[in-house]
Amino acid sequence: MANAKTAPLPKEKSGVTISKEDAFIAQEYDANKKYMFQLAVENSEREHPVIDMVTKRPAPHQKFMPFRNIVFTSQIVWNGQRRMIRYYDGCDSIFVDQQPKEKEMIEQLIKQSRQRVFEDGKFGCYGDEKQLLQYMNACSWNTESPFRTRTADSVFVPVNADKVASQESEKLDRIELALQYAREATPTKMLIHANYLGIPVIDYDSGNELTEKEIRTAYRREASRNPDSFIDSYGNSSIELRYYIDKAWEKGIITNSFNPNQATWSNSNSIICDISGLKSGEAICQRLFEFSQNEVGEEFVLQLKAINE
Amino acid sequence: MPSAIVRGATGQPGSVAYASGIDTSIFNDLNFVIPDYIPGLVAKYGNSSYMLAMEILGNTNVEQVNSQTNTFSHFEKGRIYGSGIVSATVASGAAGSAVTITLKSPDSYNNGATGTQSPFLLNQTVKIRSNGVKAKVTAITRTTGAFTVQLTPLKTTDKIATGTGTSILAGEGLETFGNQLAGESSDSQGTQQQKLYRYDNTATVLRASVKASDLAGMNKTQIDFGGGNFYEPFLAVKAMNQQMMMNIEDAVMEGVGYSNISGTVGTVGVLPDVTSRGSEVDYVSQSFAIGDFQNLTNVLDANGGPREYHFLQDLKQRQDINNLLFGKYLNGAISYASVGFSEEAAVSYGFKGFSTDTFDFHFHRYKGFTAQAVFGYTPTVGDYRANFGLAVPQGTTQDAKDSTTRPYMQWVYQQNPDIPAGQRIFSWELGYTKATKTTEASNKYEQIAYVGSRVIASEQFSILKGLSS
Repeated sequence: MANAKTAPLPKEKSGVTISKEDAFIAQEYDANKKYMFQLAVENSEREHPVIDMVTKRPAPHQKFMPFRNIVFTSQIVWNGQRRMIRYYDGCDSIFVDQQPKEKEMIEQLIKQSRQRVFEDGKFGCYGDEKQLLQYMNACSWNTESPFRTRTADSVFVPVNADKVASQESEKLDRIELALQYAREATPTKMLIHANYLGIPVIDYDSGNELTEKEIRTAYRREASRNPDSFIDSYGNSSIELRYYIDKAWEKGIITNSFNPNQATWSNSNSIICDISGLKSGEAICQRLFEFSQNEVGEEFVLQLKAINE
Repeated sequence: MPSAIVRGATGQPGSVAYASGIDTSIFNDLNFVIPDYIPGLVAKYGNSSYMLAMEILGNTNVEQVNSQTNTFSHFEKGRIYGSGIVSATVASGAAGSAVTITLKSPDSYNNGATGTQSPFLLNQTVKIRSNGVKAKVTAITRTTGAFTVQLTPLKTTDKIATGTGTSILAGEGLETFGNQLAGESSDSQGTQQQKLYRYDNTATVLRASVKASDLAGMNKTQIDFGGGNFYEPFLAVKAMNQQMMMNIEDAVMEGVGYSNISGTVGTVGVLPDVTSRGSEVDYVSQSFAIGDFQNLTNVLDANGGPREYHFLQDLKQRQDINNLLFGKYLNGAISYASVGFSEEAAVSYGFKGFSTDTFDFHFHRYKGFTAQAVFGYTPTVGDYRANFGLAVPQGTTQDAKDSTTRPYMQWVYQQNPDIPAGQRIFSWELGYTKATKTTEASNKYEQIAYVGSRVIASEQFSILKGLSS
């Protein structure tokens, strides 16, 4: 539950923990604060955007449907049992078993209860509407309710501004870290990683090789565009190894011309590993990479790294 | 030559002895019993009616039209009247004083957070919603996303305030009218125009095939697959026909996304359009109440819906509403002639209706929403169409651009100039016994359809959904 204050709880008896139900009942809310909820499901973006005929540009995408009412009856799991809750304006409790049972009283409560709706996906209520807030936080339509039944439809979630800000902040941290790596990577490491990320090192129009500065700029752009993938692959030594193998094969340092069934060093014809049945360069490189991951391939890895230093 | 038993035809040396006489076990030996069977093929899950919205709702609600291009469009216009929301509380000052308020973003702007389009004009008459006080717009500054509007009360005794307070509060609604106090020798006013929108969509391509080998097509069975045809490929082609019709229905109703599959286009779909621009009214499943009808009519009224609506419902929702209505009205609630059909036609089509709050609702069972009916299994970890209903407005609406009228829903078929006009599912065949020969000894039966959805004024549609606890 978003940013709710908690009243001092009854003194814990030794060995007795406060249950989530008791904590929920004891919870207090800031009367001057509006607690927000939003629909759980966003509209998927229309593959053909709606065109605003005034500006001739796509109209803003509507994240949520314009109207959805709030259902004020729900089952929840309370102390391990199913229990009904219902919200009425002016009623002291949300638990049906604690509410008036008389038909006239219930009709009166129904009549005096104002409809609440999600407008454009959002709904808010102030802290002084405690029963309403309790209902919204407890009911099974709230995806994050701790009392939610297993099979309930998911309708809305509380908007936790801190949580949203934290998520946004973490994302920005990742971007900054990725940019730092991109800025500080050595030219060799940058080339290897750029190759893995699919960043071109040749200008396709002219056929000229790109300068280090051009590659660095594209590399940093990729870091900010997709920081998670960038960071995860940045420290991966297998990528480096695979790069060296691919380059060695391309340049003919490793070859199968001496024996089509074996990969050998071209300068000495000494055998690296068996590649029987493999024809394509990609398959051969993949076999060499797999060989390098084994204990017997350690020598090969050392030789490969020595060539590239 | 020693004597020998002459062996000729199989079955010699002679008859078979049955020590206990002939009984039914002889049929196992002889195996020539003529079976007694009903040759016709029975559909286990036979009733496939209520699968097609077109069949259920008829031409006043759903139309099939042709398009000569893959992308087709229509235009819609927004509300005639505009409004705004006050962004921050401002003190009212003395009675009769002008107050400058800022319009809240994105609610007060027709282009949302972009915040450059608002309905407010100089000299307009504006009404404060909480108390009905009218004011004149005496100045306006169009700062992007933060338009400021100076409001001067029309009466000296009025204040620009919320209710009877001393401030106009954040969230207050301001409703715009034209200039209701133009005065003498008035000059021309600013222009207001309804927002115009263009909705584009594309037709998706549906394809189905049946291939039958020579031997498969040559083995005559005992089963009459229809029309005196005892060969299995006939059944396969029939199944393909039915599946194609259902595939079209699902593609148009639910949409076909394509942004992740290169080289293709799909179609938006009726329900995605309604979900994003229409409204949803929820209720507790198996507890539908009259108040839920009222929730619905509130929404439909606010969105300018027509008088009559047709519901396409899954069975559970149908039952929920029946239980409510038949519980309250023991003789049933049946409404006929309002949709132009006779009583007999209404009964045969299963029309049932209910009128409340100036709206007439007609309920129809729609099998496409029910997994059990279509696919034969019961979802256990979630069913997005359980207790689900779609309220479709009846009648026609007018195109904003060319004023032609059309129903609210259309199945738009893209026309191939080489295919006869009106042939919406094109079928052809080729094979070793067909006019178009192949080298392989098999026959192929192909079908293709190009179809997309068009929903007009989806704001007037509504979803009715029963929530499960």
